[in-house]
Order: sequence, then C-alpha cells, then structure tokens
Amino acid sequence: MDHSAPAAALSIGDQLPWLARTFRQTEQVAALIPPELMDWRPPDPSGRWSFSLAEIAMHCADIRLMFARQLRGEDSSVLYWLDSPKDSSGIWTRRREPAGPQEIVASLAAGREELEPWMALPYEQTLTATAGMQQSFLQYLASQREKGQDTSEAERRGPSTLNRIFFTVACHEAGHRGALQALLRLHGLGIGSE
Amino acid sequence: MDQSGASGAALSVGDGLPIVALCLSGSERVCKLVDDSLWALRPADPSGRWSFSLGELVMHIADARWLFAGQLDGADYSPRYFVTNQPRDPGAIWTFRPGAPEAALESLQDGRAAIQRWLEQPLEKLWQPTSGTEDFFHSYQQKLRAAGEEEMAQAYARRGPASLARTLSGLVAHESGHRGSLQTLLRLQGANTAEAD
Repeated sequence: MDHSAPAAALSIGDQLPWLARTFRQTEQVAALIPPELMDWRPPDPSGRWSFSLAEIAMHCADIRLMFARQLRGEDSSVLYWLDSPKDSSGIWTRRREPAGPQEIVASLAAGREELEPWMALPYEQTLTATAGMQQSFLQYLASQREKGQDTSEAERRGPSTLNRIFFTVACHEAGHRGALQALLRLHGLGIGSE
Repeated sequence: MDQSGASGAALSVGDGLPIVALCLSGSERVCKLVDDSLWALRPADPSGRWSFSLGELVMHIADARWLFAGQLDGADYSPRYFVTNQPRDPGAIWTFRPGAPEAALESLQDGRAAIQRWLEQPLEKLWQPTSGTEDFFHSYQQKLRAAGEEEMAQAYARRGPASLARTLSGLVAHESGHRGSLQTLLRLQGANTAEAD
C-alpha cells in the first residue's frame, strides 16, 4: 500500500464525492414524483405497510435533519414530516401534510444544507467525534447499562465519528432512493442510466 | 470538536465503519431471495425504457464489488464480471453472460472477501490511497490529457488518488441504491423481505 498523503486542504465532501452525489440523486428522483402519485402506496401482497412515494422522500429529508442535529448535539424533531411507528404495525404517521412535491424537495435541500458545514470540514476531522456525538454516546452507554447490557464492544468502538455518520447517511438514503426510483419506473418516470 | 475516540484498542476500518459490513450483509440477504422463479423477471416501464431484471440486479451488485475491489487492489477482476456490455446512454440495453442465482451469490461472496481484506486494515489507513488507486489515478489523468481534457485533468488532480474511504463510500452508496430497488421489486412480488430490512 502506498502511504503518500492526498492533496492538501481537501474537505470531507471532496474526499467523499459519493455523498453529494447521493443527495443530488435523491433530490432529482423526488422531483419526479407527480402530484397525483404522492400518496400512491405500493401494494405488498403480504399486507405489510409501505411508505407512499411522498413518504419515502419525506423520510429521507427527516433523516438528513436528524443526523445534522445529532452532529450539533441537538435533540429536536421540529420540521420532521413523519413519526416512527409506535407499535408493531410498522405504520409511520404524518406530522404535517406537504403542499406538493416541491415542498418535499425543498425540505431535502434544507436538510442537505444543514449537513454541508460538516462536509466542508477538513477530511482529517472525520475520525473525530463532535461534542454532540460524545453526548449521545454517553447517553447510549447509560441506557444500555440500565438495561444490564454489556457495553464493552460499544466502548471499544467509541462514539460515532463524522465518518461513521456520513457513511450511514449515504447508505440509508441510497437505499430509500433506490426504492423510490424502482417505484417511479413502474410509472414510466426515471432519470439517468441504470 | 472533541478529539476523544474509542477506548484505545486498535480499531480496524471495519470497526470504524460498521455500516459497510451491515450494507454488504443486507444486500446478500436480499439477493438470496431472487430464486429461479424470479431471476428473469424484468419490471415493465410504461415509457418503454429498458430495466434490469431481478437477476441482472444481483449480477450487477456482484460485479460492482469486483470493480471496487479491483480499484483498491490495482487488479483487473473483469473476468469475474457477468456484464458484457454496459452502455452509458439512459435506457440502453446492458448485456450479461448467462447467470444463475447460485453463481451470482458465489460471486457476491467472493467479491466481499476481496473487500474484507481492506476492512481489516488499521483505521488510520482509511484516508490513504492504495497503490491500486494511485495507479488508476495516474493512468486516468493521462487518458484525460491525451483526450485534450486539461481542465478536467486538473480538477481530478486536485482531489488526488482515491482513498480507501472514498472507494468504500462509492461501494456502499452504489450497492445500497440497487439493493433498495431490488428489495422493493421483491416486495411487490410477495417475497418476504422483512428479515432483510
């Protein structure tokens, strides 16, 4: 392996171009949702509940906000679109209704903008944990100990780093975007190549 | 920003990025659901645009693991690819050599093993390029310059050779997208994807 260092003054975003690309693609795909299909929910023959097309994009927007707030050490769900299931039904509920697809696309952009200051940091900082992540980690350890759970593995790994958060955001969002993309293709709507 | 990290024990790339293994395992669970009866199923796009069949999605995920592993290793793993032609034009038809669930799953596992070697590296190496990505970087720059794409070559040079992190992020972002599509299409067919969630 060659140990030469990459060029100087690179940001996390420079070093992880797939992150911005994932965000851009999600926004492009969400913009394809026609108003009349926003509430279309794919039928699952097993009867399992699924997100509607709009809810997939709303969920991605919420998760961008959630991670940006975790990085800042904030615990707030203000402006979230959805509440996670309260029981085993798996049904997510809406906290508010979008005026149209463009409002959801705008909320995706707003979530991306909250993450961008972190993406602009020098990439060397990706192996560090923000104060917010440190705080979440300590809370997690305390809750696990209260339940009598072994925390040794969590302690070995330590608190989430910027790195871990950004990889998780990209993986999570790409999965939902892939789902949305497949469903829109069934309606003849698509972007780019396979 | 707090610089404190883990307990001090040596961490590997895989320890530092547990989402990578989760992503790869999740894809494998979904790909295993594509049995012989679903392999050739090709979702119909009313616009007439060509799409991957479910089997082709599995083969493409496996191929991409080899592609990224090849970049890291500086090796040509294209003989392992199922794809025989992948045109860039939207809607153009990709072609694959004949595949079947068993062979695709084997390739998926072998590709994962090639990636696993990099996940076992010390976490400190995450932001370093590999000799493979260095070689790729130099040859690609030469290609851009030979094609008269000086501006693009300079922009590419600024970022430098891909680090292990950049390559792994490409792998998981790419694979997650296709796994999301595949999982959704399988659900529409009544496959039980709940355990793969």
